[in-house]
Amino acid sequence: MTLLRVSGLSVDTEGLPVLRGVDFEVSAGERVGLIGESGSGKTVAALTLMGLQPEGFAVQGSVEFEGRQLVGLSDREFSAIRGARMAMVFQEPMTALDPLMRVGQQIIDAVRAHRRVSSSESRRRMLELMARVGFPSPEEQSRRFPHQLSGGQRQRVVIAIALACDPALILADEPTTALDVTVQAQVLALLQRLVAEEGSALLLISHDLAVVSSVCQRVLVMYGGTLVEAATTDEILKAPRHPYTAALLQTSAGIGARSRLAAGRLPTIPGSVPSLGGFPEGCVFRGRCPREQARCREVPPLVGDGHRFACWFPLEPGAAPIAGTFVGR
Amino acid sequence: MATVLTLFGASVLVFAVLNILPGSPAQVILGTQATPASVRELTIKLGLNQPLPLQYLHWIGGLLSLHLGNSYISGQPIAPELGAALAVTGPLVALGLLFGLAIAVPTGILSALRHRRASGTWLAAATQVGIAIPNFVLGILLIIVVAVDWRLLPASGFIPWSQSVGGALRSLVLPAISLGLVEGAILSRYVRTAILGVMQADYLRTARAKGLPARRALVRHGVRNASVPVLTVLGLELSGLIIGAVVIEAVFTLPGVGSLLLSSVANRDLITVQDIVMLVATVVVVTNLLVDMLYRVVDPRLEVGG
Ligand SMILES: Nc1ncnc2c1ncn2[C@@H]1O[C@H](COP(=O)(O)OP(=O)(O)O)[C@@H](O)[C@H]1O
Ligand code: SF4
Ligand SMILES: [Mg+2]
Repeated sequence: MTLLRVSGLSVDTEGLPVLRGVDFEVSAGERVGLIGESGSGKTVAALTLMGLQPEGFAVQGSVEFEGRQLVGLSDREFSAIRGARMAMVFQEPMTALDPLMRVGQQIIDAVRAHRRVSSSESRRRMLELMARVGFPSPEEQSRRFPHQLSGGQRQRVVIAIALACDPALILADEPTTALDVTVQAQVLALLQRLVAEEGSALLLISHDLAVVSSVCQRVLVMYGGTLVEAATTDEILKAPRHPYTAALLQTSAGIGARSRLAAGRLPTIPGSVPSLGGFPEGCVFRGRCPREQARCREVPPLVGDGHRFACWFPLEPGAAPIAGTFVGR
Repeated sequence: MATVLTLFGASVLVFAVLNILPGSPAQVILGTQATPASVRELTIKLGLNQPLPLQYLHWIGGLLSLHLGNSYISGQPIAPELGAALAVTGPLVALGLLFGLAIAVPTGILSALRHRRASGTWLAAATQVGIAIPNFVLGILLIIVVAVDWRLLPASGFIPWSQSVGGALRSLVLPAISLGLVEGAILSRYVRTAILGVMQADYLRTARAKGLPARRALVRHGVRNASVPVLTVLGLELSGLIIGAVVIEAVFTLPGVGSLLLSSVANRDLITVQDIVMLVATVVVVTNLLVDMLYRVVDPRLEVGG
């Protein structure tokens, strides 16, 4: 059953395109990854789904969620959905919590935003949530302020807030990027377990293909505010069609890159992500793409059935990823 | 501890500066016709022939036991006179502060909420103008319009509290407005900046992601977070208000601490000047201490007693 259907979603700021006609769907209970280099538009995409895009960002297109059109809802109408049906875990646990409010209270606020429950009932729910996200002594730890918790603990609080009202969809924007390497795996495992227990769908955003591929059934690849490829995790890893996806695979730590990293050669995609308005005409990957030809001046459409990609000269299905092309500088 | 040291330093400084000034108080008191003998006699009577450290100890010892000493000029104890002046200046500063806050908080919040609209820019510009008006100019304007033309409130003087509380308040309204408006304009900008800071904070986005409508989220998290920087400024602004009060009392001829200070300086009534300056220093230092303590109550990141 389709939970979320995004079609032709475009976001502009001051005339510059941040998202350009993004199309994808998420089914109930499905775990979908969204990857792309920093600056590709992943965060803006997630915020737009929540109706929390920055001021001055103009949204066009359609976001259908649980059969309801979200684009154009007023703040008040959107508030009834945020936190209740769709929730978000943010990238920076250091700043996502109010420094002057006890963490337990911040979770209680999330419970009471949608449920008219007594204060003892919301407190009970808060303690239960804290226990579920792995606090051994919720009573005592709920009275802490954010600065008295570690980064990993704060992110657990943020996850508890997201879970507070049993949402149907959780958007997790780089939930482990800001954490110590040692706790990244723990927090990711926790998120995965809780989503499975709740039966919620998950849109997991990361710049790291390794993170996404360990959790998600399907992967969306975004570059320059465009979806360039969408397929099952298996197909993305084994048979990427878009040159950008192939390049990401090359650079992804944990997928064959560790040995190269150890060898002292950190693979990177040549060039860098342009800033807003700096993307070329036609295919957004032009200029950094090794397969580029004259036709790439036209915008390639996202084509394919199941496995979709937007490229005029895709890699052969099943061909070995274009190893070596992007290694070194 | 730091507070005590600060006050000690201030007292030494005040004493030193005032006693280094040329001109003997006795000479000034007795006037140009006085004989050297009478000047010497008065100097001894006032204790001004003793070594300075001893004079300092005598003065500060008096202050610590709440004996402010006697005026060089009138020979009367200073305490009652200062008390009467405080009954004017204290309420004046308090009313000025209240008035300033009454202006600053709503305009600051409004101009932050509308910062992308013309009305917000307009408000911010208006507060800029407010900052640029000297308080005595405003005072004179108010006297001309409200007191002289409209005859709504008294233009000058003070009706003592003991005589009529309403009258006393009425005589303080215009001075308090003159004093508070400029401080209010300055504070308004800090309130605006503080609220804008909260509006852009990640935790506000978290609150909205929970499902709190924008305004409710801002109230829930904005009041406390914005009050932290505003509190700091408030402590500093108090000194500005006290200095402003000296000027405003002169404009409205109020018998307050500022007027007493000015006349004491003119009369070389050194001991009264010393007492007043120490009083003001104590008020400022103690206020900042209170603000600091309040700070620790509001912001848990500052450990208590640190
Ligand atoms: N608040 C904002 N104001 C202006 N530009 C923004 C803002 N947030 C993001 N952008 C721009 O939008 C583009 C996409 O950013 P973002 O969604 O954060 O990328 P990602 O999350 O994939 O790293 C970038 O070019 C970024 O500079
Ligand atoms: S369309 Fe052309 S430039 Fe774009 S990814 Fe494909 S080959 Fe490269
Ligand atoms: Mg991002």
